[in-house]
Amino acid sequence: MMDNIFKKILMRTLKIKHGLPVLLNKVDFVMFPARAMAKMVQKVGEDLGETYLNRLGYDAGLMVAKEFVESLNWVEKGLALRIKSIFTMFEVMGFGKIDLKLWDTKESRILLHLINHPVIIYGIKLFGKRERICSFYMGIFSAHAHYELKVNGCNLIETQCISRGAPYCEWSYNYFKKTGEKKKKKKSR
Amino acid sequence: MVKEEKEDSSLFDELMAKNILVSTDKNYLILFKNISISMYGARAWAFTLQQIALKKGEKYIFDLGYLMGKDSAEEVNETFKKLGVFLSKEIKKITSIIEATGFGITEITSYIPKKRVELKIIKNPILEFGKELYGEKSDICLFYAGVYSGFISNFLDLKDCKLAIKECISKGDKNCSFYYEK
Repeated sequence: MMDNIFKKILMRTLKIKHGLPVLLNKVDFVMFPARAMAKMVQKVGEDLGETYLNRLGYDAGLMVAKEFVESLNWVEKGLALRIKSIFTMFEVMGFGKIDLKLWDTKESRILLHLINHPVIIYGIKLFGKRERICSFYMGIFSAHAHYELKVNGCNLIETQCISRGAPYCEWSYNYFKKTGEKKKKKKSR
Repeated sequence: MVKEEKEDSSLFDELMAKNILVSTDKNYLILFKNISISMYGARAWAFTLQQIALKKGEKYIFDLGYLMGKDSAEEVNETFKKLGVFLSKEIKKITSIIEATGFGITEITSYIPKKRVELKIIKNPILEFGKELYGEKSDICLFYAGVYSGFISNFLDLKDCKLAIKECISKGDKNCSFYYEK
């Protein structure tokens, strides 16, 4: 069974209005079966490329980020205190479990670990190492990190991925001095 | 006003109360004990679909919708099979499944097995966002024509159904409606 706290968050924060889930009575969402979503995103990634997919995710993520800030009155000052509950809410909504390892607005650096993202899980199950879905969600998360978490110009890169055997997807911006440092280390082992 | 609020929340509350929409081991939503659910900003979804349509054209966005609708319908079928539940081909049940999987409130207004079907959208706010953002240039209804075609092909005796647009809110009609005739 779902943890009680999660069920409470869900019932309290999400309502259905006009057939759509609405977050805190203000931001409209749409829900999908994650498997169908994975197939759709993969198809777009295969046909239009990962760079396009990442950019599309970024632009869409930016729209939602702006809606959050405007509709829910999210100000930078209070965000640090609320970040854990915001991430919990996102987890319940099917954005995966985010573990924020580093968040540095001064130096514009961020490092996060992500597990249990239902669409990415299906992407890996269905397409293995060929999956392109991570690029899309990295774009979305980059936009949120840039606009809401104030990590200026955030453009996340993948430094570890579940599809290649890691325990989580590790996404970072300005964290590793050289892009792909970890991958090189792995190869040399 | 109060009545409307009650009606609006009914599906979600009902799904939660009956434990149809829960999670077992992970803290995200699972529909019918098997189907993982993910959410997406509604306006951003309209934007995403329109961008893809602009880049790849009308047929592509329809086919993308078909892919999603067909897969969602297949996953529902697989789930019910696993649960040992027989899913009758009642029109009302199909529209309930479309609604529960997040693709809006629809009504099948005409159905002749193996020959003809007509489907009307009662409520799908994504189409309204499409109209708001792109006016009559919105291609979002084509995506949903694909989604519903996927469901109908799977659930009704109309294999390879490809719905065509009959009415469209972004062109000034009151509702979006689609039809298919063999």
